Amino acid sequence: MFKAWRRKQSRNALKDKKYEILLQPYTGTELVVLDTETTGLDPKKDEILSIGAVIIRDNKIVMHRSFERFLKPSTGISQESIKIHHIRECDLAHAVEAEVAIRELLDFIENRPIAGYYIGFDHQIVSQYTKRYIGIPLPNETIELSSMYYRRYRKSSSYEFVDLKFDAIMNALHLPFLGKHDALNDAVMSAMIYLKLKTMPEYKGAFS
Amino acid sequence: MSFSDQKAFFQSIHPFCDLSGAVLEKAMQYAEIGFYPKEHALIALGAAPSALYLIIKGEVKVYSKEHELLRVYHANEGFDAEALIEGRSASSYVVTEDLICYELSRKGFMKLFDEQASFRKFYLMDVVERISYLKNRETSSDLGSFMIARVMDSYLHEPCIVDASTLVSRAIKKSVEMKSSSIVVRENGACGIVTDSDIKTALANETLDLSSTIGEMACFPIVAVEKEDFLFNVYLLLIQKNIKRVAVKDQGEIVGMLEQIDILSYFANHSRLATVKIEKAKNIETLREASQGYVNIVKKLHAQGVKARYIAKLISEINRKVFTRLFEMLLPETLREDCALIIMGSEGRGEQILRTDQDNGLIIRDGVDIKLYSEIMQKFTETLISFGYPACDGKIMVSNPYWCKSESDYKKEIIHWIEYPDMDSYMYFSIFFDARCVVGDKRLLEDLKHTILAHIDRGNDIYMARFAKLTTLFETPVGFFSTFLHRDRKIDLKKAGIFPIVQGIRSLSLAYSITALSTVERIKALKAKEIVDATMANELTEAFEILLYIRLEQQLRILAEDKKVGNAVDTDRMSKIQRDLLKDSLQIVEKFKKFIVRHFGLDNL
Repeated sequence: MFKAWRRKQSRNALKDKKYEILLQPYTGTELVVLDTETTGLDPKKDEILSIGAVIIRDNKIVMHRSFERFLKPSTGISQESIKIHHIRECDLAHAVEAEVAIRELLDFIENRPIAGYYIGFDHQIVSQYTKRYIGIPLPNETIELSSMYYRRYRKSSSYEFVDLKFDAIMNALHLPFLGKHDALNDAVMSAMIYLKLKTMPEYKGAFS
Repeated sequence: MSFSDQKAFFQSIHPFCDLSGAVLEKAMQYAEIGFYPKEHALIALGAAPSALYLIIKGEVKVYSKEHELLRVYHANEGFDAEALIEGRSASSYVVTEDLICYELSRKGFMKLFDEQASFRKFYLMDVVERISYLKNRETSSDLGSFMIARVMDSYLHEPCIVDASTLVSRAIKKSVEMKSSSIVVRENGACGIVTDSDIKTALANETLDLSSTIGEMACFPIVAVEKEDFLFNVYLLLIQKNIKRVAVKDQGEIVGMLEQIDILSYFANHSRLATVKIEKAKNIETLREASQGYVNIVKKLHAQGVKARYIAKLISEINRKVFTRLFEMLLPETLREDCALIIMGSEGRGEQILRTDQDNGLIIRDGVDIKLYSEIMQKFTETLISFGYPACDGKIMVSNPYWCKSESDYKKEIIHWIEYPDMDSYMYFSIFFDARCVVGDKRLLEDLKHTILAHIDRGNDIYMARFAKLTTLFETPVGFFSTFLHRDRKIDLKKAGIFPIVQGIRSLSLAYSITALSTVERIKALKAKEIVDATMANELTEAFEILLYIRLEQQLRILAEDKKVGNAVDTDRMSKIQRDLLKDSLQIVEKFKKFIVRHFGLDNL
C-alpha cells in the first residue's frame, strides 16, 4: 500500500516522463552493482567525480556492458579527494557534463535493483542529482553488501569485532584485487563480493 | 575493472598478447566475468563448453573419463580451446577453489580463431607442446589445417577381424592374406588385439600354439579412438600408451586400424611424397630432384613438434631410399647380390637429422672381383656429393678402397682394429659397430658383426675398457661454476652430451651383444636385460632426445642464416626453458659417465 502510494507520489513528481520505467516494479533477475567516487563524504555538499557500474546476470558480471563515466566538477577538486581517488583535474579530460552522465546512468540501470558497498551513500548522492534533473530521488531497490557480509560472517564470540572495511571483506572472501581503486574497478570487485556472498549461507547462530 | 586493466589482464595471457589493441578490444566485447563456487562442475564430460575460461583467481581440476586427474589450472591460465574448437570436451572440469574467471564466449573465441593467424597458431601449438617441451617455435604457415586433421583424414588400414573362437593358424593366415599387421579379436561384443609382435614373441617363447583359439592370445580391450578424433591426439595416445596402433571406431564399430607410421607419414606429408618420388625416379636427374627439399621436411616436422628421434627416423628412411635407388641405377643387377652397401655411424643408427657427412662402405663377397665395383662406387660417391650429401672428411666413403673391399679383408681389418688399437681404429670400430645394411646381401654385414662380438666375447677386457673409456673423453660442463661459463658461451653439444651417451651405450651394447642400432633402441634393450635400471634408461632417453632437439633447433637457425652447420650451440640464443632442459640433460650425462666408469672399472685403467 505504502509502496504503491510512494510510487504514485513519485510519478507525480517526475518531471521527465521518459523515466517512468524507473518506477515500474522490477521483474527480471539482473542487478546493477554501482560505485561512485566523490569530492567528499557529505552527499548534500559534495559532488560525484566518476561513476562505475556493471550488470550481474545469474553468476556472471557482464563486462561488455559495463558503465564508466567521469563527471565534470562544478568547481575545482579539493586536495582531500585528490589524495583519496588520485583523480586530478587533468584526468577529467574525458569528463562529461554531470547531467549527461546521470541520464546515461539511469538508462543503464533502468529499474534493476542496485547493490554496492555502503550503497546508501551512493544512493543519496546520486539522488541529489536525479532530484535536480528529473524531480525524484533514485527509486531503485538497494542491496547493502556490508550487511549481506555481516549476516554471513560467523563470529567466534558476541564481542568479536567484524571488520567491514572494503579491503578486509575482499581479503576475508579471498577475492582478487583488480588494479587500482577507481569507480569501475570497485564496482567489479563489489560485484564479485555479491556473487560470492550469494553462494554462502546466512548464519542464525548464537553470535549473529 | 577499467577497460585498460581488463586489457592488461588479457595481454598477460598467451596468445592474447599477440593481438593488436583494436582486435583485443573487439574480442573483449564477448567477455564476461563469471563466479563459480567450489565443487561446481564447470564443463561436463562430452559437453560443448560455452566459453573459453581465463582464470583470474581460483583452481580448476580436469578429470579424464576414468576420473583420473589430468591437470590443474590456476590464475592466468586459460582452457579449453581444444574442446571449443571441437565442440565437445574430452574431459570434465571441476572447480576446486572458488573460481573467478573471464569467459570469452564461444562465438568470440571462434571469431578470433578464424580471423587471427597468430591466435589460431597458438591454440594448435598448445596441443603440440605437451610432447615437445619447448615453446615459441617457428611454425610454417599451413600448420593450421594440418593440426586440425582428424583420424578419418589419414589412411586407415582395413581391419582383420576374427572371432575369438577362430584357430590361431587360421587367424594368422587371414591377417597375412590381408597384409594386416594386427588381428582384431571379437568376443561377446568386446574387442581385443593380437599384433605381429605378439605372435613373434609367442614364437620366441615357444608358446605359440597354432591349434588353440586366437581369443586366448588376445589382449583385451583394444585401444580405440573415434573417427572424428584429432590425429594429433591419437599420436599423443600412442606415445603415452607406448603402442603402435589403435583401432578406429565409427558408431561403435571398428572401421579401420591406424598405425603410428601412418600418422607420422601424415605429419610428414611431403616426406611420403618424397619417398614415392624417390622410388619412382627413373634417372639420376629425377632422383636428385626427389632427394632435395628435405630441409623443408625437417623444418616442417620440427615446427609440428615431432620428436627429433622420429624426424631422424624419417630422414634416415628417405636417405636410405635415395641410396638404394641410386645403387640400383648404377649397379647392374648381377652384381647387386654379391655385395652389401652399408651406412655407418649416426646414419647407421638412424640419428642423423641434417645431412652431415656421408659415412658409407661396401662389403664384397669373397671370390668376386673387386674391380667390377670400384669404378661404379666412385660414381656413387660423386653422385651423392652432387645431390648435396657432403663428402666425409675422413674419407669414409665407398669411393675409398679402404671402405670398399672383400669380406675377408674387412675381417682382417676388424681384428687388426681390436688387436692394435689407436685413435683411428677406435673410431672405425665404433662406426662399423653401428653399421646398417641398406641394400644388397645383409648376411655379409651380419657375419662381420659376429666376428666383432666373437672377438670381444673372448674376454678382451682391456680393449672393452679402453673402448668404454672414450665415453669420458670429453668434458661435460656441469656443476656450479662450470655451467655455461664457457668462452663465447658456446657448448659443443656433440662432445658435451651426445657423444658420451652414444659411446657409453655403444660400449654397453658391445659388452652385452646387443644388436639394436639406434641409441634409444639400445637403451631399451639394455633396460630389458637389466643392465641399466628403468630410471636411468628413461632419463637417458629423455636427455638424448632433448640434446638432439636443441641441436636440431640451433642447426635449423644456422641453416636459415646460411652458415655452415655444426654441433656448437650458443647458450645465449636459447630460451630459459631450453637452458634449463640442457642443464638437466648434461647433469644426467655426467651421472651416466660415472656409471660407465664404475661399470667397466675404468678407475683402475
